[in-house]
Amino acid sequence: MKTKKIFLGVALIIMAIAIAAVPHFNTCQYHGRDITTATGTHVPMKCNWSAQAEIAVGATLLTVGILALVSRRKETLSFLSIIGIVLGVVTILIPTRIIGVCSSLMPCNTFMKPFLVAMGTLVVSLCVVGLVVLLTSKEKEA
Amino acid sequence: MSLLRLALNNIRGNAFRSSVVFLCVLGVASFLLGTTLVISGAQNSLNVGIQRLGADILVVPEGAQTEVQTALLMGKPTNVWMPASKIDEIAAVPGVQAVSPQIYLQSLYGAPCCSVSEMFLVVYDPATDFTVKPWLDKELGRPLARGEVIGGSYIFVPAGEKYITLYGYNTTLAGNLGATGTGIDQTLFMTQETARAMAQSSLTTAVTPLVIPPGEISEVMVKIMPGADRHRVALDILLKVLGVVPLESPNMFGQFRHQMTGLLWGFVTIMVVFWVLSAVLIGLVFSMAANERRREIAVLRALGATRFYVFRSILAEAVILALGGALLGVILSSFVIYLFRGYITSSLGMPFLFPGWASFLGLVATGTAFILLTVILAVLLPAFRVSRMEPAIAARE
Repeated sequence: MKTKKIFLGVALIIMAIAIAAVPHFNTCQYHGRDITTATGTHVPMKCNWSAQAEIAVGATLLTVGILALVSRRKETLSFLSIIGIVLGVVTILIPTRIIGVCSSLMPCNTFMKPFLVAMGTLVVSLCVVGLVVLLTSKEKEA
Repeated sequence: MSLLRLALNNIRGNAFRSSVVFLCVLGVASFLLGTTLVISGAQNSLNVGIQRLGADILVVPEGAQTEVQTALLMGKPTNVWMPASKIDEIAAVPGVQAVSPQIYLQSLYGAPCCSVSEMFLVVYDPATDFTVKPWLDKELGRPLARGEVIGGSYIFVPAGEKYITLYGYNTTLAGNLGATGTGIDQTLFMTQETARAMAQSSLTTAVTPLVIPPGEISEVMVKIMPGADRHRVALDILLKVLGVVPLESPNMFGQFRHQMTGLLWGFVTIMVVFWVLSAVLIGLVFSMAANERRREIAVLRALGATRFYVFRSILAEAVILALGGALLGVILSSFVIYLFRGYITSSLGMPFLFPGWASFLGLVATGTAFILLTVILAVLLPAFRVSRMEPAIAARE
């Protein structure tokens, strides 16, 4: 059980860092595309705000990963897995529904959005598997 | 103990061995399906795009072949012109049944009605058109009225608006063509009447007026007579009409097809190397496992298991691992390719249209069968050797 717990914690930490960092290198603004107003002010597009929001999700997921590494009780790990599932879903919803990204064939739409959907799916899958393993395990402590 | 249970227990009993086989199969399956999907997606996109063009031959100004093909394929902006008098010259060529001119208007950048950064405006002649008309007859049941347009799959009416405003002129989106994965998806088709009205309006409503050079066209779509030789007709156009180049629709995007063939061979080479290595590794792993399990197999034989039962138990173990790995592999690669299709299109510089459900399921079934066959072939020899072993000798060794 200890190995599985370490695997869950480390995997969540790696994915959290990727979720928080990778989008910033794939926004339209990073690739030199932004909206310029009549006064010459550069306004970031919505993919930029999605990338900012993912920092919050990534930071929370990082905390969940660290807590999973140091937790011993099966119940705590189960709750952390449930929080992981919710955070995975939020990771997917930010670029697809909540904030969104720019139009098709823009860098954020071709890479950042699919990357976040893939990472979110991975987080959800990992936490669901972790939860099932924890719930079916007979051991009381990890 | 049933055969399936024995195989499952064997898999659980040696997690490392099972993981190696599982990962090998997963890798081969995902690579196999992934590369096949990319290549077939590009091929599918090309075929749908050529079908959507609806012409047997496209006649373009001399020197503009690459420009027009790139515009149609990847949606790169183009601005080509030739005299409208060429229409009659082309129509007079033997074997030509119908001709229809099209005009490429200035591309729009960052239009709010288009989900891509560039949008093309193509003007067709409703009196002679045979490319857009079949779609209109089927979907609308009437020709486009003045002010009406039809768009590719990327064109939409901006949220909260009733019209698509182009050069300050309001147009109504009458419908959308299906996705092709090519530049046609970001094209807006309109009649000459609408284009002229837009150009007239743009003089007072647009920052930059729309200019349609009088007596000029961009290309001529040619339909050949039934039974006529397309290549012969194309050669006649080339010889009899000066300053133009005919592009036969099946041969269109030739440069791209050549590039795709190169890519395909590269993929095939890597895949064969990967496949052979995986098959050898799987065979080796099972061979080692069979040697390790001699005593266990001897006990099984002593308990009354036949040679065929032992043979089948090893094969069942391999089939379970192969099926699991192959299924997960195809799911993963399909998911990743579907998600990153836009990125693949832009980074490989090729059009992409995800295959339809039937061909996709066909690919998955073929891939899984191929993987299963590979694993069975790799395991056949070690399974046969172990099953032929005498129980007494096996137990003593």
